[in-house]
Amino acid sequence: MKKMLSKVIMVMMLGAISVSAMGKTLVTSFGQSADAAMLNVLFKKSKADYEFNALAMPDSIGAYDSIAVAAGASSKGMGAAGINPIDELKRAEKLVKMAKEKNIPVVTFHLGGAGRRGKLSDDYVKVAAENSTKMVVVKGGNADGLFTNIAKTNSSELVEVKNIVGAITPIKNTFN
Amino acid sequence: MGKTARYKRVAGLFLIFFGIIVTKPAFSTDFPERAARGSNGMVAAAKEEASQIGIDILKQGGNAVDAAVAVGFALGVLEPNASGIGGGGFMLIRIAETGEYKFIDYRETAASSATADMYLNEKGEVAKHDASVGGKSIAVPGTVAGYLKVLEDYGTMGRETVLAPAIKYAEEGVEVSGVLAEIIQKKYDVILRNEASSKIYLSDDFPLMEGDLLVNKDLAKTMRAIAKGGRDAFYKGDLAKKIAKAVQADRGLITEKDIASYEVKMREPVKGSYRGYDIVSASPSSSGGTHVIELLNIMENFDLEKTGFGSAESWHLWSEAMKLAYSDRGKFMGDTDFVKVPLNGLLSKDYANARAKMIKKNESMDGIVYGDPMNYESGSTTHFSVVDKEGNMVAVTQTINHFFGSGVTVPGTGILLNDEMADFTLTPGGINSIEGGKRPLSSMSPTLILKGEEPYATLGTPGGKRIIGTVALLISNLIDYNMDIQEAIEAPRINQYEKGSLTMEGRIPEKVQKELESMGHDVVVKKDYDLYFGGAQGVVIDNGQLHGGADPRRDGKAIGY
Repeated sequence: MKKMLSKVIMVMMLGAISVSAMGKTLVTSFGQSADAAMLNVLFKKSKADYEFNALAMPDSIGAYDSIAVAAGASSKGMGAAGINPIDELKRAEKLVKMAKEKNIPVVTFHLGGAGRRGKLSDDYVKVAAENSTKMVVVKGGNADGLFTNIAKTNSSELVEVKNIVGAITPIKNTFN
Repeated sequence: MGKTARYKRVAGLFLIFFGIIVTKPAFSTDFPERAARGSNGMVAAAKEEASQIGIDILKQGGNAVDAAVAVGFALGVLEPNASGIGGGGFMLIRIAETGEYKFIDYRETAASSATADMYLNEKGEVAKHDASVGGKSIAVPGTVAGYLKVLEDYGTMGRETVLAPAIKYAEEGVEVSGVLAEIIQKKYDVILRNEASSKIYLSDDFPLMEGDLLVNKDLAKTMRAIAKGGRDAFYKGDLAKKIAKAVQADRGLITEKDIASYEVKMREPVKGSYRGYDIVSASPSSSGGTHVIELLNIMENFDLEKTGFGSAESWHLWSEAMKLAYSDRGKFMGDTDFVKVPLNGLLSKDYANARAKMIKKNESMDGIVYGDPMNYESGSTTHFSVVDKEGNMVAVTQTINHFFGSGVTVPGTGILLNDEMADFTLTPGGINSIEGGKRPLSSMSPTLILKGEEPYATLGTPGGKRIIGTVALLISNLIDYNMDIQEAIEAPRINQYEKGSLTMEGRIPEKVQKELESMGHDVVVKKDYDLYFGGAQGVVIDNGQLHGGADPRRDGKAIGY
């Protein structure tokens, strides 16, 4: 009971903190799909203070006050980035672990529809989403309720948007 | 026996007899609306609008070649991610009057200065990304040359007529479908890196969504120039200058001279047979036809009717045969203008029989040594089939390679350029290694089937190397299991390369998946209808009736009249 309560308080504190009140956001990718480039453009248009590094390593995140993750896999994207799926998953897992240790909040973005979910992508999606205080999801990508269930289990916030452009408002609200 | 009882007995016997005659195996279609029937003409393409354009051309008095060229140009506007005048392809024609076959190879060619080691860095590592994105990935396009040649030699209509529908769509816009929206999103970073592509396929830097209008007025202008000036309008002069400039601006090698010297090749198609049907298909620089025939030759050694459609045993046999066919492809196949390919051997029944003997009944064999070193396998490309009222048959498979090709649009022209260089072996010393002017190996397999000189079917599919397996499966579905063309197209598919996992669509029952695993197959299950396995279209001729079928895995639709 005590453990549960402290978990809830921690989540509430992390969620309540205005992420950008602390400064710079790291925008990165888990899975190297084209969604990372989209998230980069979204952040640019929202005029948030951020840096984009699709392959950010865990030991580099100390420079940031928050992390935004574009979650979704592309085997071609990983090939182009010169990273194999196993190492990419390890990078993702280590990054969220480091974020937790440093109390850096993580916000997951899933910008693809139902067609962009699948076994390969979901491995990265789950690592990001289950370690996030907030998730911004284009509606079609939550058709099976994955993000809803994660939000319920982890008491994290879920924002569903109609389309990719719709993600600008939650970015402004969260990071500006 | 009283009269009533006699009547009842006769009626009962009649019902049993009739039931036996009309009962088919229990295949069904989930997407009957994509199929069509007709007796005067049939077009089956990956977009309904394209099929309609083909039918309109036929109704205007054009023949199958006129319709095919009109459809081909239009698909470059309607489905710009999958083919267009910045790409290349193959067309197979059967002329009804003479029974002659014409196989047109308008595959793209490497720049004259391209070398086998052009993608190797200082450490000797392959920069694969450069072969599939940007200027260095582009090969000299062949589509315009190919289309205008067949139109002149075998068509009856002028350029203006066959280009008009494509020009109209490019000028007025095309509604973005769900399939296209998803592909734009998937290739967002490829599109975003090029300003001219971003202007067309993105809106304010964001992907066009389902229902948005995709307009390409520059492409309309380009096609008007081609309609007016013919081949030279594309391959010489202002357009050629712009293409070369755009390629070189992004580190590519193509020059104006390369473009001007592009040649369409007229080749003999490959021929084989399967259970009494004649199979006619693509010869090199496509590996497709040869290995479709090889695969069918291997499978002819097995009683697929007995093993049954969709059984673990049948899928196992297909999987093992595919390993053998793909391993041969990797070892022996290349552009026959540059390398020697043992075509006769690969096509021979004796060779296939010997290969078939390697297949074990209940055990998956380990991957064969010969492999295809290419890592990028594009499932992009498009196929369409046309039959006219004279019985002329056309099968066309064409591409810009990966969806959205190189991502490079030539500024001011709307031309989206291919990344066909990725289809070469990117290291020196291989049969498919790069040489200046060479065509990269393809798997495209536009195919015609005849039964004793009578036309039976035209079909094909996109799907990268998997084209070979998919076309063979389609042919088997028609011939071994007596499916109609729509059933054959919708039926679940598998793929097995020379090594690696056996991939299959999710509709294959779990029980069968488990049986295959127990035989040693490493089964990977994809979606129920997965784009990975292609987007086939086909037309079957049955007692003078035309049956068109189209693939729900893409936006396919057949139209007939």
